[in-house]
Amino acid sequence: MKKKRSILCLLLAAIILSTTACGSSGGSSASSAGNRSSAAEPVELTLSMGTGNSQEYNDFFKNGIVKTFEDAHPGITINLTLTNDPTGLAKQQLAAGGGPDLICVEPTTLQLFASAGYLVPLDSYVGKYEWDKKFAKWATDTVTRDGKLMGLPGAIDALFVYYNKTMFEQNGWKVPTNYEELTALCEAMKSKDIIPFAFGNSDFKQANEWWLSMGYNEAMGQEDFRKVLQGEIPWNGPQMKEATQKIANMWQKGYIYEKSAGITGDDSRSLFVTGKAGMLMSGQWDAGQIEEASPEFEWDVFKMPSWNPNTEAVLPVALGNTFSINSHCANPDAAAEFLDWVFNDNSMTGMIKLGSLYPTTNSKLDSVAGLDPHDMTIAKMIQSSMTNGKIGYCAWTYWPANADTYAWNNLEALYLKQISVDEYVNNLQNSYKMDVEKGNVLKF
Amino acid sequence: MNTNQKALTTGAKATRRKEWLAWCMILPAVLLNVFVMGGPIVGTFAISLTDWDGIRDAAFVGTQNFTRLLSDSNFFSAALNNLKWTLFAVTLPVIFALLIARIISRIRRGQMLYRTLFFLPYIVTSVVAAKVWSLIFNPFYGITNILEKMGFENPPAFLADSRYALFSVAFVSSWQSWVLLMVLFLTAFYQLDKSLEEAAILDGASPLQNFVHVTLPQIRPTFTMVLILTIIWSFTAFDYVYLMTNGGPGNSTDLISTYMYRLAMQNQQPGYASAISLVMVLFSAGFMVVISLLRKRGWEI
Repeated sequence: MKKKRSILCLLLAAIILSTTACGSSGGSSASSAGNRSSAAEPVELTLSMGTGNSQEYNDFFKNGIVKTFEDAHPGITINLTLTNDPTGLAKQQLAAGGGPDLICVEPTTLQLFASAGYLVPLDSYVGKYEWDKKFAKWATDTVTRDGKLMGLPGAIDALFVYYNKTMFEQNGWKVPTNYEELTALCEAMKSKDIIPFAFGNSDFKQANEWWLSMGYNEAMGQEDFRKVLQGEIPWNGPQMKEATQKIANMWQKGYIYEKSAGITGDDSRSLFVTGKAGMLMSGQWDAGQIEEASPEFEWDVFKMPSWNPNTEAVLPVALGNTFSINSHCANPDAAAEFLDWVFNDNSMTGMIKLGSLYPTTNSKLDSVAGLDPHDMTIAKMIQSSMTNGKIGYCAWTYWPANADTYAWNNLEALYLKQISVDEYVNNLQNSYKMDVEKGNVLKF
Repeated sequence: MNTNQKALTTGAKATRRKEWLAWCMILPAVLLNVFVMGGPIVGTFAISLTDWDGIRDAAFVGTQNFTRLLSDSNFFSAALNNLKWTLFAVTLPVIFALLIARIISRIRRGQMLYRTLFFLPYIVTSVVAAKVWSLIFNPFYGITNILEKMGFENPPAFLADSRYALFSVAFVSSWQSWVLLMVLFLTAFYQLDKSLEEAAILDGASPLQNFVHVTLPQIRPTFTMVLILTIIWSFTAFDYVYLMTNGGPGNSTDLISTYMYRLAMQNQQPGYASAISLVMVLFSAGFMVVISLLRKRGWEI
């Protein structure tokens, strides 16, 4: 009996010891990238990107950029992983002292990472790679913090309107040039039981940022909205109240699909490509999917007109992502070498063919043959706006974190009159104050 | 030491050895609970006293997060939605589970077939169920569309209508979980004292009277347990809301759990979210205190 008890106790002790001995191997993936010694030693860099891009984009990045870099740089291996939520994952890993060597997140998150000291400042590489000549200033402003370049700007996002050209021609409708024409067009569509603007966000509530970005930029105008973002005009001032009411009117009057909360983004595209909706306000990311759907009508795009008679229309732009280097990266020189490779001429040409335009001087549309006419129209619209400076400020790049999340989280409550315009803008102002205290406001 | 004292000492030692062995047996489970639950609970309490954004260093702010909660209309709106969810969950699904269990308990042939068929929703994962029901509720090719074609004017848009969205999602959640309640009731029905029912029949009681005055009192402990489980589950509801509506339209389906998740993961406010989670723990603790008081008064729970 004593022996049995002893054996049992020994077994228990073994179980306890084995469970406590099990633990994550921990450590940054960067720490496995090798030491900082000579370039002759093999270097492995890890890069984490999102799965939200098309398969063609992912294939091109793997084969056209990563593989060509590895071929040209023997000894440096890029370990690319695609993950559903690279931002969320990076937050956890960086907080634990780990994370990938090369980080791909949106600009607002890059700013937070930079303020926490998670990223390597890239100023020392600017001269070597001439990055100051390669990137548009408006783009590098979004990845600069306290005067230091903390990352490189990724693909441009832009918001505009896809429209059913055939439907417009059949009904004698014209592309609107001001707010009154826009609302009149929407009323005309409603009278024919056509949904003016398709929209669905049950699967991605954050899509509310699109209408917020478009509405505030067009209603306030470029300069005044920039002042709002810089705190020079209050979020709860009379101009912003008026702009907020205009955004709310778009849904309350039925111009934006009233059941948007019950359908997904895919459903909203279906509404457009099946002709149930006359327009779709979205970004360049939808162009490929609309082309693939092969709608039975001719379609085109237009820049949203200004909602303010005293200001010109702008094209709200953002950066879809950025590239930066983890401060724990064992070989930042190799990482910077790869970053420069990502933005070389071949890469940029390949990206344009896939419908991704980057804010670089070597993104030359004329050098790309066989580009889809729609993609070319969109790319030219973006380039033209960048050239003439008529750009707006999209939420996911230019707005501070708290104000942005409050805005898109509560937009539907505003639509449904669960909260008033006054309450909404007052809370926006309070959220912005929190951002100022935390240093979240991007200076541009 | 005389013989009796020796016997007592030997007995006490044997008892202590048995107790020591018992503690060794449960030690792995205790350690698991301490590290997996205790550690995070302590961590959550610590984080709730800071303004941590999940990225930068945290600063101690004392009870600021808790005082902020008192004036947070979104939190109270979510709490109200939780209450509505609970009220729905403790009524329709429970009554339905009770009735179906009663019917199945009376079936002589094919009972296993019915039990299996009714149990099928439970084995479907919540992600699959949420996606399928989202398609069913789709305003263009779902039930709404079918009702329109049948001639109904303005049928409810379910997930797209703030008046019906919460109950639509609660219905889907209950669709999957009610079968567990049915199994519990079925087990209770199998343990009934048949002689009481027979006596009631002999005394002239109708089937309804028999059910209400004889059967239900006998399954009262099970009934109470079902209500307790349903209330606790309703506080932890998250997945269907997150998958089907993300808290929308507006805040009409936002629950405390989804609000807390959004604060922690998207709004970069894990400090505040931790304060909310502790308040939820207080709700649950308060509920358990009530249960324990009722037990002391003789309620069979």
